Amino acid sequence: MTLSHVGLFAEKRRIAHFIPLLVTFLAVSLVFASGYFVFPLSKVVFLIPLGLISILAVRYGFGYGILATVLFVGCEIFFVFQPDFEWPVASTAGRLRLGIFMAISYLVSWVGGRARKERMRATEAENRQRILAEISYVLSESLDYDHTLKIITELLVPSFADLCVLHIIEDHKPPSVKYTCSDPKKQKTCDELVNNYLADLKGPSAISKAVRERSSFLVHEPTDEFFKRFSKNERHQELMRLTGGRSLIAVPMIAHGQVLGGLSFTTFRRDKLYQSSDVAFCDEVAKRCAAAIFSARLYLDANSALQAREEFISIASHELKTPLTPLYLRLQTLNLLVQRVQRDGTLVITKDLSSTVEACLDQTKRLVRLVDDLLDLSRIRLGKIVLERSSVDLCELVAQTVSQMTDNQSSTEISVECNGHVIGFWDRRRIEQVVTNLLSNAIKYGEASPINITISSPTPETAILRVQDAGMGISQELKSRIFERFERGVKPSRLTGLGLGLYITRQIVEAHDGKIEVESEVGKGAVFIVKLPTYQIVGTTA
Amino acid sequence: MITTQTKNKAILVVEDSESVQDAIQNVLQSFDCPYYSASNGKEALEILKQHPNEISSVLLDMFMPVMDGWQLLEALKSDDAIMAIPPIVIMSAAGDIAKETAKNYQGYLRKPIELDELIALVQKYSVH
Repeated sequence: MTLSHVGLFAEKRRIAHFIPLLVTFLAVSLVFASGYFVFPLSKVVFLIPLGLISILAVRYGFGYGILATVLFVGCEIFFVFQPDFEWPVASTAGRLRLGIFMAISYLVSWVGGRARKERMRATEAENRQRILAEISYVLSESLDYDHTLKIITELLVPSFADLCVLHIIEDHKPPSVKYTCSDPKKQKTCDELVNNYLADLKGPSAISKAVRERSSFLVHEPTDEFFKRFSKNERHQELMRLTGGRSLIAVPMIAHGQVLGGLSFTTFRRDKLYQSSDVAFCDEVAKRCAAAIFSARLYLDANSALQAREEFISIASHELKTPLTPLYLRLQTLNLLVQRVQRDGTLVITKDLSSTVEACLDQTKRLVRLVDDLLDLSRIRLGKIVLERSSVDLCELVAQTVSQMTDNQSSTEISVECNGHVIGFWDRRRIEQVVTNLLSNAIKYGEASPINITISSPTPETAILRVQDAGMGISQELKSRIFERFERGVKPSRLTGLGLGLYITRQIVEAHDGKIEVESEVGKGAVFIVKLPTYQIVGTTA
Repeated sequence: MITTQTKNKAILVVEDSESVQDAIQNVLQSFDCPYYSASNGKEALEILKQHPNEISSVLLDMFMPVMDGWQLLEALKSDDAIMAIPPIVIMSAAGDIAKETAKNYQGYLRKPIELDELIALVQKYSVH
């Protein structure tokens, strides 16, 4: 990545420190040598080492200024031993001169050192601004945050951290982890530490704490107590020590009040321990990552919702058109008949005629049902299911619905088990809809296996309805989705329907303060269980 | 499968929706036109193999489970067992894709079906 050269520079600079020191030493020696051979030491000559000392301090810091001063004084003492040299300490003026020189050079070093610190701080701030700008750029490049966040960890290593770990919390999945380690020799240790102890965000690690408590935290220099508290076991502790983390910052990634993951930074260098001012930078990085994840998810969700809606509209149009084909054909046949009657003046009610009319009515009913479902959908969307509660016997209602449905679906065997009466205060029409939906699903997906319906009341307050088939069953992955809108167990081409049945069923059950769940395995049939409170609850229009 | 044996050649109706199947059969019956019915491509293929010379034409819905219209057309092309492929009329509510396919075959019935068009087809193909 573009920022990695910063680390390389730092290496070169360390060697470069010694060159000016050497130059200073040579310059100071030259001054004294010339003073000795050509003229006696003039006061002006002192300005030259002072100038050098100030440059050193500004460039490399206070320590280097002091070191140069010491060298200078050392040189002067060295020259004392030369023949005919006037020892400065021997006279009061000489002592004063040396004292003033030392005081001034100390001051110069200190001011120079301060200036250097300021400059470094400004450079660091600039550096961080650049990192932040690069982070924003990378995040804006793509909506595939899985990929871009890995790049973010690479951007921060080694300029800011030596180990950067990023967790993304996913729905219904373990968190996904991205990390980058600066030291190839420690890669294996980092791999084991991250994958075995940090990945699940459940352990006692610093990052888990930050995510759990939704707040950033800094460990300036970890103590034994820290290692003990934030490790799962001995091996975890050992790995933490092996990576050689000197300082650590952990921050949660939060966007719109939602914790989307966490970021942790570890430095291996003793001279780069994190300060509280670094936490603000980490927070900013986390904030930008969180915002990127949030908007990417928003976009993907909106997109898939749109796609589901498109698909639904196409299915709905197909479903609405299906009954129209036979209805239109039959009505045209009837029209022909009517024309014949008008021509001949006689009307004979044949079996054919009555079956045509019946078929027309059937298809019209089917259309009405479809339109009802569509209306229910928009009612639910607007939160307008209004229940008209009355005393209902669930056993009687189920028996009635079953007998109505077996008239049409004679091939499937349906048994109903109910001891006595299970009476509750429900909306009769809506509960009928629940039973019809579950039963027609069992017939549709049950592959002609016998269907078993059980109604029970374990306590006077609850009623339980179980609808069981031995058909194709539902996969684990589908189970969480079948109660959602526009979902169905099988691809649209295999079975007809709007895919709204179970969604509407769930909404009705929940409007009654009940619960619906499913137990199933692929190939082993399915049991839908509806639990309903039997008593009336005040203000339960959902 | 409903079969009516008469001297005439039969029309094979391939359609997964029972109600559409019934409505078409009702029209065919009123014209004393014999027919076979299949609810998907696979059943249609079997009928075509079992009754090679009895079928005058095929009314084919395109969107069906198990084996759809396009798969059936492909299978017919590659199957050597079926010597003579009868005229095929494509039925569909979906529009463009099916209509495009129908250009290579003998006819196209748009759903909801116009009775006149269906009767015209019956008269064209059923009596030989």
